[in-house]
Amino acid sequence: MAERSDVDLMVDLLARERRLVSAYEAALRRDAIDASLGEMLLAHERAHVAALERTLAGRGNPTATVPSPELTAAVRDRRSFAQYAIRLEDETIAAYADGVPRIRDPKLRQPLGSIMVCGGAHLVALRDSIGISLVD
Amino acid sequence: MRAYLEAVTDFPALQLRLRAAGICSDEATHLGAVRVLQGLPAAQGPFVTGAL
Repeated sequence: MAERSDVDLMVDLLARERRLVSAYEAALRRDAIDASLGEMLLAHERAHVAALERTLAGRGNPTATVPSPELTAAVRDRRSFAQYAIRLEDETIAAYADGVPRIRDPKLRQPLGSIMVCGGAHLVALRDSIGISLVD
Repeated sequence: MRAYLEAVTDFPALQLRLRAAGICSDEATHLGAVRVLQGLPAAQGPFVTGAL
């Protein structure tokens, strides 16, 4: 399989970050997450989106984010949303862990890695919010 | 955390960078857990680079 370009890799990460933004926005609207936690997570995800958009500077063509039926079902209560968000954050971290080392421009790897680390902290915060072990 | 992020940046071989990134993602949750146990927010900001 051909290696993906830096732009392709970042477009994929941007799509994932936008999905997280949509999820936290929906959860806050539906009171499916503690407000202070949700606002912090949303602010972080928006910062990630802004950083990726600045870096991409109009290159690439991220597909539009559409609300998933899974998200609609998850926002019915806080526990189900936290479980959904944990899965989403986990998938996003895995995408960073696989994608960032493949970025050809080494100057981009550390800032992108710092976003991955933030995702790990989000996992912990979400796990803490529903009283399960902080790490699995 | 900082050392693993630097490894992801600096290691010349892709396989080593992939391994470092995998460990880094695990360390990220450990760092978040320690912060929660200290009574701090799990993430101190949107870009977490670890301490020198």
